[in-house]
Amino acid sequence: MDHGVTVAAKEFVNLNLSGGLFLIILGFLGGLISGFIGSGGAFVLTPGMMSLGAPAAVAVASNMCHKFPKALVGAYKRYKYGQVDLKLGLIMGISAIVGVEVGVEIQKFIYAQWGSAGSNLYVSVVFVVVLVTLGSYVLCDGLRRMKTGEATEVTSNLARRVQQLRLWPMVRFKTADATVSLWITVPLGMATGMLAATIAVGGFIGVPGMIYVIGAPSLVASATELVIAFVMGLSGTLNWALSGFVDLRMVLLILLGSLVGVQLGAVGTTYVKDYMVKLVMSTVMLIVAVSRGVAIPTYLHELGIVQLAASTVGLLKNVSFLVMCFALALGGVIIVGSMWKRKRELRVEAEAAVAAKTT
Amino acid sequence: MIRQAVIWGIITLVAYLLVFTNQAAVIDYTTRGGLFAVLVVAAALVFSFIHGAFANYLLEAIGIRPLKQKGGK
Repeated sequence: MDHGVTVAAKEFVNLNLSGGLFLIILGFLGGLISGFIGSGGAFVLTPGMMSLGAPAAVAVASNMCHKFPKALVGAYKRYKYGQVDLKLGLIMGISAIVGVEVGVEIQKFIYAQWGSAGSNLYVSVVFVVVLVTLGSYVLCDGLRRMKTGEATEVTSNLARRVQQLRLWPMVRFKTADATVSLWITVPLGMATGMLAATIAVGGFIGVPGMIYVIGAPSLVASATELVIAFVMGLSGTLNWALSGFVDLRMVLLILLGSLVGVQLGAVGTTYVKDYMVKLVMSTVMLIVAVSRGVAIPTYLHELGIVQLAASTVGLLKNVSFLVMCFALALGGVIIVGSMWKRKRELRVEAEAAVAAKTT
Repeated sequence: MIRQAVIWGIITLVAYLLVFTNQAAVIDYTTRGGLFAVLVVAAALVFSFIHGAFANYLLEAIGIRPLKQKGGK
């Protein structure tokens, strides 16, 4: 893998063995998280590809292009487990495409006003505010349900009120077990798209939105998010590929890891109780918020608001990226650990049953 | 399962080797933009199918299978 290629004004990186392995591992961890919580694995890939020397546009385009096949495989797998609400996913996915356009326009405006550092600062602030707010809420809810040991989820008060709102056109979502007005699902889909255009992970709004606003069970929400990610990813890929920005080699290396990870994560959902989706999602959200929080002073420095030494800026950026990788790795450990634990419990139960029969 | 994992594994390996031994041509065609965007989407779908099938059989072959099928409330 040693051919460096330049086409027109776009630079395509030399991919060596270590760079390739790095992408495969990031892809696996990202896929594992996405397969389990429906989203959340992609945010580390854009900076990951840029750290290999890929220009930002090529990294964003290639990240987008790896997203839709991964989401497709994950959604198919979880559809077979009866967890996907296809109608909800398609309605929110199409709304999300509109949301992405709105998000991109906001980004363009900020870039035109305050340049690259202003844009980075905006993205980081959105990251921290959204992830800390929603992450804390989801974590508290997940912990509460873990303590009470609820086998099935109780619909939130907000979702119950939303479902009582009879505003035409009402749509019945069978798998999510909810009848909700399009006036709720479409804005929620748009918000998911706007967040995706801003921080690359719309699911951090989409999944909690489906759980707490629409009233879908966690497993259905996280599985349906994969359909939304597929629709958004396909549309985004076409946009970028029309201008020739996708580096197919990087996409295929990421897919090498992520298609294994996403299926492992999907299988993992059949091993755990519903609240585990909330616990893993909130853990990843809160650690990623820390990661982006660490990077904020560097953008303030670039805007001339605070003064930092060059070495400090470099250190903060590296710490930020490492914390992001840690978020993925920890999420992966929790998922695989939960599966391992459940398997052992089942083995012990089976052995006890055999022992009881023989005595 | 093992047999299917091996077959899909070989297909995946050949497909990846074809791409990475012809990187310059791959980049040339897939970054032309316009109608060539279809090539990018098609390639991503083809790889997701063959490598997705391999990953599925690989996980099943090593004993990672779904425990229960569940959905709504």
